[in-house]
Amino acid sequence: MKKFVIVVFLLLADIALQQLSAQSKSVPLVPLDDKQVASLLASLRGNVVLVNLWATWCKPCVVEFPHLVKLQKVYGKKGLKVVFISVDEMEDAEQFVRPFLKKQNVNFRTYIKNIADDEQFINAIGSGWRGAIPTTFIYDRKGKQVSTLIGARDFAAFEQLIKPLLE
Amino acid sequence: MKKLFSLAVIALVLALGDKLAAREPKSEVKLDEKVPNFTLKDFTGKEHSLYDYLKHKGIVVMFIATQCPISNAYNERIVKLYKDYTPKGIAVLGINSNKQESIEEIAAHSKKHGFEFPVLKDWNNVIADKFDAMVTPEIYLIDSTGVLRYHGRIDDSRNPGKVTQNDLRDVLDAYLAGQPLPKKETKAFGCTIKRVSQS
Repeated sequence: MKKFVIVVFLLLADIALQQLSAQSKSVPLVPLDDKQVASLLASLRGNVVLVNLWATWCKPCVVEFPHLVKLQKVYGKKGLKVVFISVDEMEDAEQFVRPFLKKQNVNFRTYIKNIADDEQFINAIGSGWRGAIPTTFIYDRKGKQVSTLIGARDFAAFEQLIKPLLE
Repeated sequence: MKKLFSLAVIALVLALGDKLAAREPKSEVKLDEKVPNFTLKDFTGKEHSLYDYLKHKGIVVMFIATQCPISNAYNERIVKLYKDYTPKGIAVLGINSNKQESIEEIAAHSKKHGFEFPVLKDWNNVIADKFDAMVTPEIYLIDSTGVLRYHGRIDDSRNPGKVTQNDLRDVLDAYLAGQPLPKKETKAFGCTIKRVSQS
């Protein structure tokens, strides 16, 4: 009887873990290499685009993250696209990045650096970026870069910058 | 009264504008040019001037942090660099410009990780602004005449097991051998230096 209870418990635990894993995998996280950066930005032209470079190991990034998720929720319908690009290692995607995105209730597509050479990726992002995270670039509807924010900001600070661009 | 109020507002805006403009980092440090001298105190209160170290063959200035996971991932490598290159005549100076990292924290961090080189506190990120240093860790190699020879990363991965390019070591080896440097500038991910003007 004892063995039966243990087997049932293990089976239930396994099912629960599989469900958790499946839910986590449903969080859209797309690998992005250096060549895809320009085409991603071009595909978003017509929107106000906010590109945020972050990582799960970066404390200020983690603090800033929910402000940007809220910004997307509030202003998404008005034409704002928040583009999160994680600079975590690809091998950390399942263990750290997806669970974090899930916890933050991110239901839109986000990206993760998929290139081993950091410098190549930094150069591909361009816009004068020197690899500091968090950094946020804001582009107007024509694709012109209008702001570079180095370091974390809050909802109000982002809102102040994007509102005039959305009008 | 209204006019007076308007004038006061304009004056305030102008004053704030000046203040904000003054906070904009302006790099005084450029590759192949002489780095201006600076003096900072270490966590014991002892003053260190950059030019006092010109008697060495070269000076590695490292902007580092106590709380940044990337900077901390390099602690052991920094200690190894210090041990390998100090006997060859290279001086190492750590600089902490993060506004939220205290002297006590820097002292404890240095002790914990076995830093035998001075770690200087850069209050109000004055030196970080002069160097236009943005991240930790960020490296500047200055030669014995005070000229900046290399700026950038230590190597190409925060994970020691994944390093394929030891940029700083390659640069130091070439420099000490009197050979042309394999590179002068590199970039890497790092934590932003938390400046006083930032929230």
